[in-house]
Amino acid sequence: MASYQIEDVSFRYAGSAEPRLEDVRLSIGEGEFVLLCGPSGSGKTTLLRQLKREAAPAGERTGAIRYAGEPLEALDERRSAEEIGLVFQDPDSGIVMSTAWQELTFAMENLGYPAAAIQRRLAELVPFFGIESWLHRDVGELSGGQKQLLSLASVMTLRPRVLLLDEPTAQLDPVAAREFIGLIARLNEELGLTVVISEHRYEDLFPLASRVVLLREGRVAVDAPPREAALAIWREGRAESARVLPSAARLCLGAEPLAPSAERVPLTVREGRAWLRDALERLGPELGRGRGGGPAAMAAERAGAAASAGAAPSGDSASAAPDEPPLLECRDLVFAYAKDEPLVLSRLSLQVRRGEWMALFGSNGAGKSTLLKCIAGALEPQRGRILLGGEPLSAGSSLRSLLRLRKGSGEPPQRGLAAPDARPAGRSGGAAGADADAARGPGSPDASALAGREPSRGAASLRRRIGYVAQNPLLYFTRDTVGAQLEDRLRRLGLEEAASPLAELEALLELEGLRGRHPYDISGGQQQKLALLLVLLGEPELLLLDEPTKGLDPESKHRLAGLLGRIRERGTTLLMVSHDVEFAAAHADRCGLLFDGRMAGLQPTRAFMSDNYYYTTSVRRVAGELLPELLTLKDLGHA
Amino acid sequence: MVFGFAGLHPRVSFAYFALLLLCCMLLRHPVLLAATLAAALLLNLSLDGGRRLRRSLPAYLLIALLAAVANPLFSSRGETILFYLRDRPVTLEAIAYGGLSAAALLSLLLVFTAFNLVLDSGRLLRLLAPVAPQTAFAVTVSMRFVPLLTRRLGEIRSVQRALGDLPEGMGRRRYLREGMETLHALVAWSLEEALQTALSMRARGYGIGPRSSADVSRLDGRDWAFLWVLLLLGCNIIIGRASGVHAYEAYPRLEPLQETPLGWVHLGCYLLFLALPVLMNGKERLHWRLIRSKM
Repeated sequence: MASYQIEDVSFRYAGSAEPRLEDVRLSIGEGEFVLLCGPSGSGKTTLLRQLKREAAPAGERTGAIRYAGEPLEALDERRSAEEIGLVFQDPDSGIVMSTAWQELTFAMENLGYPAAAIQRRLAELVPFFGIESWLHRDVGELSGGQKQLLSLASVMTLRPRVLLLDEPTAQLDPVAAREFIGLIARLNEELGLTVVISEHRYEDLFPLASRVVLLREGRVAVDAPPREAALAIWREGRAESARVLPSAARLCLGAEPLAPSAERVPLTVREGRAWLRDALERLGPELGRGRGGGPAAMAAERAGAAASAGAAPSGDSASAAPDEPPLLECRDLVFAYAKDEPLVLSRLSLQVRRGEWMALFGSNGAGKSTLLKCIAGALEPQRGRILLGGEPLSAGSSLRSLLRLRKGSGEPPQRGLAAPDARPAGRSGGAAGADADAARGPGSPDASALAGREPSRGAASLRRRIGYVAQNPLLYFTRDTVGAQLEDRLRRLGLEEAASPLAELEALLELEGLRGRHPYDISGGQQQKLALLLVLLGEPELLLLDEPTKGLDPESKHRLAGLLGRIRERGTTLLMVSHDVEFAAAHADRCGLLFDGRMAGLQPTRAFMSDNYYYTTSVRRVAGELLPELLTLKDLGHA
Repeated sequence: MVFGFAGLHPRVSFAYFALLLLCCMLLRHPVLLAATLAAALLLNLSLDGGRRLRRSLPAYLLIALLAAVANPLFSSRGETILFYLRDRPVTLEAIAYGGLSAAALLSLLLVFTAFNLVLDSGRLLRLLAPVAPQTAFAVTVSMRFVPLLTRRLGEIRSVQRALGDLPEGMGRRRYLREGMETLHALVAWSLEEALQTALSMRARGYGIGPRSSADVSRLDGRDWAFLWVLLLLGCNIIIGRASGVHAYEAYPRLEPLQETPLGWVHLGCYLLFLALPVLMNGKERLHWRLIRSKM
C-alpha cells in the first residue's frame, strides 16, 4: 500500500514563468524513510509542500498526487490534518501558543477532541518525547532544540501516518540536530511512520534513509536506496551533486570508483573505517589513484609533507608572521547578561592575527555569539579590554563609562555620552578617521551633527574597521528595495557610489540586477550575501561571521567558502564562530574551542583537528590512525 | 504556592476575591475596615511572604496618605471643629472620614495585589475560556508575541549597533529616526514569520470545526465545601449590611462604636470570611511542618 503516488507532477509558482517542478514521478510506500536532497532551489521544499494540501503554495500544478489511493484534493479536511503531519524549518514561527502544554493541546483542540482524550494522548506522548520537565514552561524560555521537539510532538498528538519535514534541523546546533534526527528515526522504526524529509545533514541521514531522492532543477535525478543512490550520484560525475554524499562514501568511491558493488559503499564512519582497513591491504599505495589517476595521491602526499613540516595552515595565503602585533586582541573579557545570571565570558583572552581566517567552536551557550557581539560593539563587556591594532575599543570598564554617562546626563546628551570615547581619538583616528572625514562630504545629512561631536570620531572609526554579519540576514533589511537599502548604507557611511567598492563587491557576490527587488523576495542565499555586502561596504579590516554556514546546502557552502576566500584576499581578516567542523577544517587557518566562558585550545587547524576526538571531521574519524595525514577530502584532491 | 488557598479552582478563588473586593467598597465601619486591612496584609504575607507587595507598598501608602489628607482640606462638614486653616474649619469628622476612605482604598489595593498573586494570567485565561473561548485564544496567541517581539527587537538593535547606526551620544532626533528603522525591520520580519505561523496553524487543522478545550480541571470536594461556606458567610455579610448592621456615618458627628447582639454575629461572620485563606494556608504550613518533624 503506497502512501503517496506522485504522477507526472509539474508546478509553477503563481506569477512565475519557469516551472519549479517538472514531471516528478515518485511513489512513496508506507513506512518508508525518504530523504529528499539537492541544492537550494532544486524544488525540494516545493515538492514537500505539495504533499500536504494545506501547505501547498499558490501556483499551477499539473499531474496527480494520490494519498493512500485517493487524490489529495478529494481528501477530507479532517483526515488531511490528522494523517499528514508537517514540521517546519523555523520552530519560532511554527509555534503558536505561549506554553509548551498549550502548544501540545493546540492541534487536538482544533479538531475538537474531548478533554479526556486529549489528556490520554498527552500522558502517552509527553514521556516519549521527554517533555515532562518543561511541560508548563513558556515557549520563550525553551532552547531551539526543545522548541523543534515541541513542534514535532504537537504534530504527533494527532497520530499522523505520514510525517513531512522541511529542513527541520537547519536552525539547530549539531547536538540538538542529531537528537532530533534520532527521534525521527525512532518514530519511523517503532511506529512505522512514513517519513519524507528534506534536509542538508546528509552525513547523519544517508545511513538512516530507506530511499534517497535527488532533485535537480525540479526533476528527479536519482531515486534509489541510499547505497545505490550514492553509487549513481557518484557515477554521474558532477562535483556539486557528489557533495551530498557522506564523507565515507566519497572517500571510498574516490579511491576505487569502479570496484564496489552497491552494497559495499560505506555510509557511516564505522563502515568507512572497515572499508579503509580492507582497502589499504588490498590496494596499498595504489589507494587514491582512482579518479584523476594521480592528483589525489599527490595531494595526500603533499598534505602529509605539510603535516610533518610542522602543521602549516591549510590556507595558501600565509598568515602574518607571529612577531607582528595582532589585529585584534581581547584581554580578560568578562560578560554576563544580568546581575544574577552566570558569566557567559569569564576572563576570555584571544588574539587574531592580521590576514588570517580563524574559526571558533563551542557548544550552545558557550558564549560564541556573545563574544562576537562584544567585539562588534553590540554588547559591552563588564570587564576586560578589546584592542584593534593596539588601540582600545572600549573604555575598559563599562562601569566607568556608565558613571560618566550619569555625570553628563545634565548636559545635552551628545556631549555627555561621547566623553568615554574621547581617549583613543588622538592616536587611533589616524588614516581611517581622516578618510572618513574626507568622505563625509557636506552633502551628508549628518555632517553637521557629526561636526559637533569631534571627540567620538576616533572610537567610531575604529569600530567601523570591524564588520559583523549576524546569523539572520533579515535583521539588516530596513528598506523596500535592495537598491534603496544599498543607498541608505552608502549614505550612512558617507560614501559616493562611484567612489565606493559597491560595483566591485556586487560583482564579487553575484548580486547584480537585484536592485529593484524587495529584500524579502530574493532567495535565502542572496539575502545572506546582501547582508554580507552591506557590511563589506564599510570596508572592515576584520569581518566577524556568526555561523555563516547554518542551514546551507553543501553546494552553497562551497560557494560561500570561495567568496570568503576572495574577501580575505582583498585584505580582510575573518573571525567566524561555527558549529560546522567540516567547513572550518577545509578553510580556516586556526581553530579554537570556547568552553566555560574561555578559550580552551587555539591551534592551527590541522593540529587542532588531529588532536580532537569529537570536534573533528568525519574523514578524520574514518581515516584515524590508518591515514593520519588525512583531514578533509580536499587532501585527496576532491573539490 | 500551589497548595492551600492558591490551590483552589480559579473560579472559586475568583468568587472569593469578588466578594472581598465588594466588601472593601461597601463597608465603612472602622472596626470592619481595620479587620479588612489587617486581613489583606496577612493574606499577602501568607501567599508569598510579602515580596510582591514590598515593591508597590510605598506607592500605595502615598496614595492612601493623599486620600486621607485631601478630605479634611476640602471638606468642612461635621460639627466638631478642631482648628481653622486659612479661615476654613477643619473638623474631626472630616479627618475621620478621610482616614476611613484611605483605609478602604489601601485594603482594596492590597487585595488586588493578592488577587494577582493567586490568579496569574494563565489562571485568568482558564477562567475566561468557557465564557469567551475566541477571546481567550486570541489573548493566548498574542501573549506569545510579547517575549518574541522583545527578543527580535534586541537582535535588530544589536545589528544596528554593530553597523554603527546607533552611535553613543547621538541626538534625540537621530535616535527617533533610527527607532523607526528598527521598527520597520521588526514589522517586516514579523509579518514574514506570521505567514509561517498561519501555515503552521492551518496544517494542524485550525479552523476546521469548533475547538474543544483540553482543560480538565473541575471543582473538587474542597472547592464545593469552600463555595458553600462562602455562600453562607457572604449572604450573612451582604444581607446584614443591607439591613443596616454596621452602617456607620462619620457626619454630622462621629457615631459611637456600639455593638448590638446582631452586630456581634455579623462581625463574627465577617472575621471568619476574612480569615478563610489565611487559615487554609496556615493549615497547609502546619501540615508540612508536622511531616518534616516526623521525618
